[in-house]
Formats: sequence, C-alpha cells, structure tokens
Amino acid sequence: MSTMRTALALWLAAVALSASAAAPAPMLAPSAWLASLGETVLAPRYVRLHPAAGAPAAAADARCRGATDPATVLAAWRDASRALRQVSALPFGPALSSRVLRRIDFWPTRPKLIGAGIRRFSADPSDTARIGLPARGLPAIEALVFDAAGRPASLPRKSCDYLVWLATDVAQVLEPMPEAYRAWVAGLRAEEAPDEGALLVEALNILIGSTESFRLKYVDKPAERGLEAADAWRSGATTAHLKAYADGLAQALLGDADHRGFYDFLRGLGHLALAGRLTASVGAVSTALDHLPQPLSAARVETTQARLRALSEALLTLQRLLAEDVADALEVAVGFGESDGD
Amino acid sequence: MATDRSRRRLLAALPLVAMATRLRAGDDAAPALLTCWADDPKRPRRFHAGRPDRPDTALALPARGHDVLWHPSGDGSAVVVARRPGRFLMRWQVATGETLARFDTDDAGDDIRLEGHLCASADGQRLFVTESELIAGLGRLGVYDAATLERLTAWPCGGIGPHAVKRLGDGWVAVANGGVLTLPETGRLKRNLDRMDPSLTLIDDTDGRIIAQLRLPDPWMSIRHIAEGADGRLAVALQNEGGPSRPLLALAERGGPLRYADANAEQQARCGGYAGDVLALPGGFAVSCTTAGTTAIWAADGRFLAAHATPRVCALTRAGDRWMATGDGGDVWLGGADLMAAPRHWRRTEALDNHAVPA
Repeated sequence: MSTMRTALALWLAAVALSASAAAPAPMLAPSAWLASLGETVLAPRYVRLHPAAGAPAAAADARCRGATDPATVLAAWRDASRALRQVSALPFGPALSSRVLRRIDFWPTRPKLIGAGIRRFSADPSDTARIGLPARGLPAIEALVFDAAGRPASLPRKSCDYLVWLATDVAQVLEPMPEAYRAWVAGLRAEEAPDEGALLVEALNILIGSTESFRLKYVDKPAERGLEAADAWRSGATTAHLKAYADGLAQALLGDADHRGFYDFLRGLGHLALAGRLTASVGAVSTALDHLPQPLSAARVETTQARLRALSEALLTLQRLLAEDVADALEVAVGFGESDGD
Repeated sequence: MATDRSRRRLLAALPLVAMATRLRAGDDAAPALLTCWADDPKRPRRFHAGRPDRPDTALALPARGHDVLWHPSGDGSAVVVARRPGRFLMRWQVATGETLARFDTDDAGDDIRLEGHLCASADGQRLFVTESELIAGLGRLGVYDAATLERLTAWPCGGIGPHAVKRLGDGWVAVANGGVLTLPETGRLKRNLDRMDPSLTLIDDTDGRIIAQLRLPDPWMSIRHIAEGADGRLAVALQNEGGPSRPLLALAERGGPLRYADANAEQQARCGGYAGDVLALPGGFAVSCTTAGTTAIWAADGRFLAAHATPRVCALTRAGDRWMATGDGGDVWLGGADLMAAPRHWRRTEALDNHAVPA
C-alpha cells in the first residue's frame, strides 16, 4: 500500500469513529473532495475569468479611441465581474495564498482614492506601484464606466487612460491563476500524502468564512443602509452577483453531477442527518435569493430590504450549521466562533 | 496642557475612587464594570457593551466587542472596539446607551480589520487602535480622531497580529505584536506558527516612529497584553502557541530586555498556556490564566507569589488598590488588599467578555 493510501486509510478510520452510523456512501478524503472541486469548478472558472477580466481593457482602449460603442465596455465589465463573483466564495489554495481575490476586488469602492489614482497615473504612468488596491480592481472599473443611473459614464481622457491601465492590471493579476489551480489539483492527488486533517480544517473554515462574508458584506449592508450599499449597484447587477456568489458556495458545499461536494464528504462519514440539513440550508438560501427582485431596484426599497433580511437569516442559519453543528461533529477547530478568545 | 492632563487624570481616576468608596462601605453587590458581554459564552447570539448591572442602557453591538475605554474627554462616554471580524469602533454615552460616533472598516481608505484594543493619546485628542491590513497581514496602529472616530492615518507597528495597545507613562505607546498571522478568509486559523515573530513595540505617538522592539528568546510565546508598573516596568501576558512550557508573564525594566518572570514547573502548570490579560498592582502584577482557570500574582521583581482559582477568568482591572477579574461564565472576583488572600466572588448571568474597566 502506498504512503498516501496508508495515511488516507488511517485518517478516514480516525474521523469515522465520530460518526454515528456505518458509512452508507463511499468515504471521501478532503483531498479528493478539494481536487474534484478544483478540477471541475475552480480551474475552469479561472480559465474563463482571466480572459473575461482582460476584455474590459481592450474594450476600454477601443472606447478611448472612439472605435467602439460605450455599451461594449459595460458588457465586458458585466461579464468579467460575474465571472469573478462565481469564484468569490471559493478562496481555496492559490487564491488564498496569492490574495488574488482581495487584490482585484476592493469593495466598497473609494471614489476619492480612485480620483487620486487617476491623478497619479496622469502625472506619471510609470508610477503605478504607489496606486493602492482601493483604487484598483473590477469594482473600481464599474465606478468609472457606469454612472449612478447605470448608463455609460462620461470618460475624460485621463480617466480613460487610467481605465485601460486598471483593466490591464486586473488581467495581469489573474494571469497565473489557471495554471496555479491545475498545479494545486495535481498536488492534492500527488503520491505524497496530503495532511488530510489540515485540509479539512482549512476548507471548513473557508466555507464558514465565505458564508459569513456573503452575509455581512453583500447582504446586510444593503439591507441596513440602502441599495447604494450593494455590490454592483451602479450596473444593476447586484442580484446576479449575489446568485453567482451563492452558486460558488453551493458548488463547494453540495457538489453536482460532475464533482463531489462537502455533502458527499459528510455522507461518507455517516453524517446523514447533517448532510440532509446542509442540503436544506443551502436550499433555503437559494429560495431567499429567488425572492430578490432582478434588478434589485425593481421593487420598492422596503420590500427589497425585507427580502435581503430574509436572505441574511438563511445565511446565518447556514453559517451556524457549519460553524457549530458540523464543526462539532467533525471535531474541527473553527476560526469563526463568536466567543473565541483574546 | 498640564492643567488638561491633571483634569484628565482626575477624571480617569474618578471611577476607581467611587468604587473604592463603595467597597469600603461594605456594598455586597458585585463591583460595577464597564465591559462587553454576550448572552451565551459558547453560542452567543446577542452582544452588548456598557454596564451589565444596567442592561437597559447597554449599547447593542453588531458583533462581539472586545476592549472598552472611558472617553478621554471625561464626558461619560466610552469607546468600544471590535475583535474578529473587527469591523467597528463605536463611541456611546454610557448612561443612556446613545451612539455618539461610529467607524466602520468600510470607511477606511484601505483593506483593514480592527484587532480589538485601543488607547488614548496623551492629550486625549486621538485614539490608537490596533489594526491589520488584509493582504499580507501586517500590523498597524490606526490613529483616530477621539471625538468623531474619523480615521486619520495608520502607522506600521513592526509585526504581525497586533493585539493590545497601551499608552505608557512617558507618552510612548506600546503595541503587543502577537506574531500570529490570521486571514479573514479563515478566521482565527493560525497560518504561520512555524515562523512567528512576536514583539513588544514602543512607538512615538507624535509621529509613529518605532522607538524600540523587545523580543523574548522563544518565538512561540505570543505577546498579547501589556501592563505598566508604577516604576515604569513593563509587563506582558503571553500565550503559548505550541512550544515547551514557559511562564505566562515577562517583564522589562525601561530600556532593558524582556525576560520571563519566575515560575517553576508546578507554577507553570497551574497557569497553563494561555493568558488573557495582565494588570499592574501595587507591588506586582496579576495575570489571568484563562484556560487554566487561575489568576496568578507575581511580585514586581518577577517572583511568583500566588495562584488563585478563578475558573474561565479573563478580564482584569483595578478596584482601588485591589485586583478585579471577570470570566465568560459571568463570574466576578475581587481580590483583597493582601495579594495572597483568596478573592471574593459573585456570579452574573452574562457571558462577560475579555476586558473591563471600572464603571
């Protein structure tokens, strides 16, 4: 038996002791689950995201030269940002180590800092190292190309030049990612045994963190402060973004016909009831999302905020299921406990 | 300026005087505190700051609060800062619960989280709050307008994982860099235990210049909380991140190195590996050893004096010349003037958070 198989068998035997019943489904090691997610979801999504993120640069360049319709830039941004939201909930492996999602997704936007970035770039286009992350990324591009009514914003020459650089910068940051994910998947499947316990701890913490971030950052803000505190409010893409984020989370949690999810991992350990509750909880999030207007501004503000609060409740239930019941059952130390120390 | 300072010191001392008076009068109620609390220690659902004995005026918090500070203006307001996820700083009027000012990390000019502790500048005009930027996790000392909580600037604090910050008697500010890297995507999961570099950094509070950095010989001993003795001696409370057992208190005379306080193997065992707070006392220091359920007392020269059984203890504060402690089980302890004497004990219903000051 290989080193990997021996370690895997020992690890699975150890964690299965905590399950209440004999496994009714094939056991699934965390490395196998994550490799499946990486191969089927993450790597393909980054393969799509990289060129999508580069498209606004070309479109912006054409627009600045008067060679294309402004709507082309808007469409390119919508496509790229939706592709980004499809991986936003999944900072596994290379995305975590490279911090790529924080580098290209600074939000809420800081208009003053974007303005300062434009001035700095205009003064010296070679001095981009001093332009901070708050003035970069896809949300900053949205703030430049859409006006408050969702129409194409006017783009003075300096803003146009900056826009082209911004879009190019995003694409460059993303360039290594498809290959990084291929290598990550290969590493998970390598002969040398991965530390399955550490993989599980990190993966479960990431899923909890993504659920919490979804709720606090993207749902509670517009629910409490109004729709202009929503992600992608200028472009009217908020609902589409929320659904894209939730889809990424669901891919990791439940899997689908093509790849395994955390659900399969739980079933493999015999945690059938928890797996069932996970499915129901993700379903409740999906249902709450379906009740949101598309675009978010299509309904009365009070109605939309009530529906956002319902979504927040569904996400809180999912977060607590993962952070409390699932973590307890798996004896995983969770980094998102609200009663943790210091 | 001197008059202002005297006034502030007087105002800052008022709660201590009031409490000492009340205690001498034989009041049998638990000493009044300003602190944060939750409704349940293990699965908290609601979070507050204020006086637990006056819940009707408590400030409802959006998430867990951590350190609290009476506002340096002496107007009866206080400031609370969040720990993880570390998004808010709030000033409120304690007597009424009215929010006076609020800072959210979304208002910052960069990607940061707050790390749970704060102190006021010598002139009371600014607040210093420990922060981390969220790309590399580098620690910073955020500088805020004390009245409005507007974030003015941020200074590097020379390490990763800053936690407590304390203004020292000479005007410098000390920051405890725990050395442990955590990221928002993975909560409190510790990502660098094999390359920790904890330090105690002394910063000039006029310009953010790092004056000195003190380190222990053992990088696994995370420096988390700070106290200053009457003679200017610095004390830091430690958390062992997986190395061999060490005392949970280290001391540094001004200008000198950090060195462990004394504790033999049995005393170290009574303290465990996790200290939650440290407090300067007349003649020594108290350290709350949270996981071991012990409040340990050391003399100012580093001799181990006593270990009091205080299950789940964390917050430490002064009540006149005595030490007072709380725990997330709702316990409140009040030490005697004799540091060796066992503390008095009360039990509240709230899950009291890790830090407190006299009300």
